Amino acid sequence: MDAILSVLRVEILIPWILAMVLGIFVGAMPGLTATMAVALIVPLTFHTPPIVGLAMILGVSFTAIFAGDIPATFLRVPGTPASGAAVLDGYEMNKQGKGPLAIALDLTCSTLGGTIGVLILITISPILASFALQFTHFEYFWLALLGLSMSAVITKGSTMKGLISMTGGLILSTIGLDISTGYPRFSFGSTYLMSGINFIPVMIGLFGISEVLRSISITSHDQLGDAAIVSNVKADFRSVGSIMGRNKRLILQSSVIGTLIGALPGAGADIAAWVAYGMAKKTSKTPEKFGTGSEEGVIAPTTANNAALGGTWIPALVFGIPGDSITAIVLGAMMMYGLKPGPLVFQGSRDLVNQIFTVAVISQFFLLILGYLGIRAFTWFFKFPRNVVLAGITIFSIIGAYALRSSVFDVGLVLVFGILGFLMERVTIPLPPFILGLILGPMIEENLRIGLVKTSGNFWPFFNRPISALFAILLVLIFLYEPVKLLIQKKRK
Amino acid sequence: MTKKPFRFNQEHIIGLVCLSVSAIILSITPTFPKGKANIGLTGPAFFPDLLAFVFILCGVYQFWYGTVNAASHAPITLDTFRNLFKKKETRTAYLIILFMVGFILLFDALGFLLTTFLFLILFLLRLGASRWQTFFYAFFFTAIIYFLFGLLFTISLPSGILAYVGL
Repeated sequence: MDAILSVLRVEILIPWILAMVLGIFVGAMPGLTATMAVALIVPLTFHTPPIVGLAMILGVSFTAIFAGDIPATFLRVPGTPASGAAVLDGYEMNKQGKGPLAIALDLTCSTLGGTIGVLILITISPILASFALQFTHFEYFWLALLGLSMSAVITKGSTMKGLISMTGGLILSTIGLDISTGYPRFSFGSTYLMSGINFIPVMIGLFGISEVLRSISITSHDQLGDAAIVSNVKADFRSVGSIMGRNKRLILQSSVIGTLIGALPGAGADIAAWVAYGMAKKTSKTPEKFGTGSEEGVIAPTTANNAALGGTWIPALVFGIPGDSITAIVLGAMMMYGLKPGPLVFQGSRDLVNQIFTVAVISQFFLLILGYLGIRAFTWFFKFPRNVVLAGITIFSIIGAYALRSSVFDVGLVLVFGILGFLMERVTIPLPPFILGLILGPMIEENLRIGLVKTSGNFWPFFNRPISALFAILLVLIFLYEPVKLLIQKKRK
Repeated sequence: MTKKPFRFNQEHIIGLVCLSVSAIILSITPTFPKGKANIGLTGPAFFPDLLAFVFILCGVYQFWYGTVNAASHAPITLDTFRNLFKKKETRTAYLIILFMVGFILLFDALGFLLTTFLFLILFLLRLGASRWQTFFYAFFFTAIIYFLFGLLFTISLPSGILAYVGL
């Protein structure tokens, strides 16, 4: 009760709700991701108390993921990658004149999925945290490497390109003063480089500016001033209750799948939505209806993508390892506030953790209201010309990066990594492993080197402890999975 | 059997970038001090060296992959570079990068208000916004950012030459 009262204060509520409104706007704009919405919010949180900033980040991510389903349903264009699976049946329902029902179902399921995901987070995290207290440097080294490797393997495209992206991020993390000796590495005498590469400008560049450059380079000049105007967009909640009553098991199944997949480092809401959709089709009594406007086909992905958001916070809070690029930003923000995510955060900052949980639950109620208003406002949103939106994103990204340390150097980083991100996407190198490598690099290096100092350079203790050995085996299996699968497929052919 | 000609493609470029980065790292790290009790494994060079070796393996693999699967990738020729400037949309992207470079160079000298306003005007005009839209949104975004960052969060935004007129 104290936690609820402590977050329901005007100075928290106003920025929190405004951030959620921004999430609707960014999420509903095709091409702009939930990660970008969070990246745009982060600079505004630098000078706020921790709970205000975290409420803004949490709120914006929930609304952005849902809002992506609005254009997915009405325009067949997913607003965010997490809405990709929602297009299949949502748009088909819209073609049959059932768009208002599809979006109402979508909003209710998103809220319910998000709530279940958060409840699982609240239940599991403290138990996992007490278990994680037994971890030493050896286990943390493997755990961070495991999370990072999973992000490289799970992301779309070739595993090798995921590995290249991940190693690139790790290499970047070595710039600056060495964590144990204080020796300046790869700084070339620059005081800016000596303090290391801050991940926020890198992330703003990789996800924000690269997206602006990509949009500009592929959109015809004649279309840049256009706006996609849609009329008669509304939600019809009349039969939602009975449909959801018929699909209780599916909602629970998709929520659990979403949360579990979200908890895997590197696998975010988009993967969760696709897996939940596939699983729903497999377990459905009418799988042939999927793809033709099936209600189950709308329920499964929209429940799972919001449930995944709660899941991504599990490894972030418990182990300090981000579940996706959004929680990677959250970790950075927490560090900025002087908080060290990990099992000890449940002891040292218990009140703040409770507040985070409370904010996550209340955000679901706000999502229901703001989501409904967002659907109504959808037509208005799309009257904004694309070139104005791109200009707004660019200038907010630039000034947001500057605001971090009042440094033009950080703006330069935004530009450099914007170009790098643009090029990486052109050659199909995934971006998330790069940013996770940059964030987890110091954790991996610190635990590896402290472990080696303890053992005087002996690697054996990294393998002979039960949990370490288990993580090491899992790591090998992760990398062997795809080649072995390909080999078996070849042999069968 | 005729030998297939070598077709340089994007996979080769990725491989070469990995190898070049590794070479740079490995040429710098020998100057780093040794670790505790002279154990190289615990020194500042250990982790970057380890990553450089991983990058070498990645680079060699990408080069091999690009050669074996050359047929599935468009070859990179002189025409590829010429085409980089052919499309108007691509040229606009390069111009936006140039505008950002200009922004960085002029930010401290001209100050936040002037640089941001000018940057937005150039950006919007190049992206085909009408004159009234350009001026309206340039003013709108500059004012919003000034209010949010400058006034609300009291972040020190450079005044530049406007400091002479007391702004």
